[in-house]
Amino acid sequence: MPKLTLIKRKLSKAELVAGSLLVLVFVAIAIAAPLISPPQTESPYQLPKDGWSLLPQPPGPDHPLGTLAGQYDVFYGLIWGTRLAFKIGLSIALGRAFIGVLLGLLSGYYGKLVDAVIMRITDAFMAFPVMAAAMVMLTLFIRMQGLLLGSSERIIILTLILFGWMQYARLIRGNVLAERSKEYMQATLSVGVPARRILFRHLLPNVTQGLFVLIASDIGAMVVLVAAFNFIGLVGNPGGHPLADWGQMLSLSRDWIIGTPVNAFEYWYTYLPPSLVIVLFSTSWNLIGDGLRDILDPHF
Amino acid sequence: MEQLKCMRKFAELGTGTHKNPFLGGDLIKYILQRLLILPVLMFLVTSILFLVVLQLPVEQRAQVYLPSVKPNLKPEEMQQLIEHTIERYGLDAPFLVQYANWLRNLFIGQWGFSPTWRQSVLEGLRQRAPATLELTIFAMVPSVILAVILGSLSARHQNGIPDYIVRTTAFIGWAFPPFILGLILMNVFYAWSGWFPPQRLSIWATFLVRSEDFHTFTGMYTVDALLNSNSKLFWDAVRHLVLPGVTLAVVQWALLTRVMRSSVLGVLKQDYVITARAKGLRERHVINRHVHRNAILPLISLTSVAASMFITNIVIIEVIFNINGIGRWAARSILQADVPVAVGFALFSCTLTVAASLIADILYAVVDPQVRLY
Repeated sequence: MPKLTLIKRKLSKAELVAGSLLVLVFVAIAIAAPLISPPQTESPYQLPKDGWSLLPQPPGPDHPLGTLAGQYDVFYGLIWGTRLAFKIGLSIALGRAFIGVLLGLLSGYYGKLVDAVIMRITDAFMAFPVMAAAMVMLTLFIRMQGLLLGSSERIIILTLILFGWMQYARLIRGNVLAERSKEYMQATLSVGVPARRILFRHLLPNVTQGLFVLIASDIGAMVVLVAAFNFIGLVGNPGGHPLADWGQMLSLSRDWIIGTPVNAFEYWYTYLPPSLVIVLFSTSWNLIGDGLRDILDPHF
Repeated sequence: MEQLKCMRKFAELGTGTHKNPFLGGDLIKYILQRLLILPVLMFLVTSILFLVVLQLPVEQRAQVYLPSVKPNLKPEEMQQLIEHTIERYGLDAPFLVQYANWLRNLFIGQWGFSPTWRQSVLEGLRQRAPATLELTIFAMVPSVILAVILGSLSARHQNGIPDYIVRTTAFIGWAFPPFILGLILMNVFYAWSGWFPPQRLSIWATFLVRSEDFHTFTGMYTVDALLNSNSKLFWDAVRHLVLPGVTLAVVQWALLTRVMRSSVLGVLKQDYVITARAKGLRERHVINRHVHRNAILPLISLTSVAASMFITNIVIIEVIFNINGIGRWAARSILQADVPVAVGFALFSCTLTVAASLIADILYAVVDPQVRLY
């Protein structure tokens, strides 16, 4: 038995190391983006346009990975898209964690009515599928501001935070409940430490088990989800100018996945690089999440 | 106190006051309790939705109630019409009154009129439901069954060859998001080989389905083709179902298999499994009665997460493969900023997840009698 757990430990460590290395590579690319492919326009997050032809161009000396329809450089998009991916993933995951941790702490600490109310609200939000929420929010914002799906990526991020904190709240609440019966909590209560101090000084550092597993797996998953929204056209590009966003690049290459009658893979450079990068990015975060879970979980 | 109550109930179970431990009075009581929570949950869900919708200015909300689009209306007339609508439906009334009105409308089947599709929202849902249902059944049934079988197989041969095969496949399936998997499958199996085309039917079959001598029973083409005993049409429908079905199945399968595997691994290490083996039970009995019955529980409690994921995936897949189902209908309406459809779709999918989690809770109680004691 102990031998098996040892192998399992080693395996999960390997997962963790591989995932972390991949993420580090992505971080390096994000930081070094201006060096790898210098911005050609004033706003570096927009894809540079090199010509007006609607036909994608294969890789050549000017464009190491070819261009999309409308002559947007694929390589540039991949590099700068890394920055956007981190922005999207981190802001959603941290936003969710913020709301979830706060509600979980309150719910677990005060218990009784507060707990019941917060948990019922959590249940209700759990029953609200993220796709439906995103659709309602998008429609409303288009209606209210009259914008034609421009800059709606911000709305999507907001929606994904507002309708995605429930798992965090449940996790933290469970941890608080387990922690509340411990002696140091009795001690803080008996000497009359104010609630705010108990919550954030004493409880918060002790209830983070599993929190980072959730954050890690959420970062990858959210980048994928936002890319999917982009791909099916629910999120657009402000002013018709596409951003260096992996999802938007894929949505630009949507018409080219069929190729030509002669060669189905004619335009591989339009959809394969962004797809691979998205898969790699989410996989690296999944590996970290799985590895962390296996190490922290005492059951296996 | 709580513990004492539990122990007493356990003792009662032991004395045979309940004839059938699986379907006894406790279960019915438990189901009734769950059903009582249902209205509360639906009330909260609809309140969230209504609070969001209420952020719209009143003129915008009035347009939702207009029976149809009248393009050749003068601005003053339009203004009058909108004011009339606001008055008629009480759109400037206090919040609670409006909410009550809205709920009543939902109950009597007034879900609004979609200006994009020029039909009522309920009619739109009903028309497109068969396509989505067909795809769901086609994908989900094999996916769940395979997840249970392969997840358990993988755990029982931990670190053996079947384990590696299943784990690698599940990892790949989990790593590839549905829209990328769909794109790659479409590239290889449609563009390159031409085996499995998108959409629901070939052109000739579409004409056949719309013709006079074809009887539509369910709206699901595979079933209807069988009922009309038209095997050519049946194969055509199946051929069109393969790619979206596989895409949908793979993602859900990967998630469920991973959970099932780790759950079986956990159960196999429990003392009661060792006891069962020590008693000399046949391996088949140990696995089926002692291991699977306990290992299936985490899978059941995953239902509401899986339901939410399923709704995201079905929208994406229907858009990619051009299937005229509920998901694509909603996605296309959003591009037209169609509020009634957005709200209708949200209500529909919320009801679906609530129903799914209710069924999951009941299933959980059937499989695990301990739950009923609380």
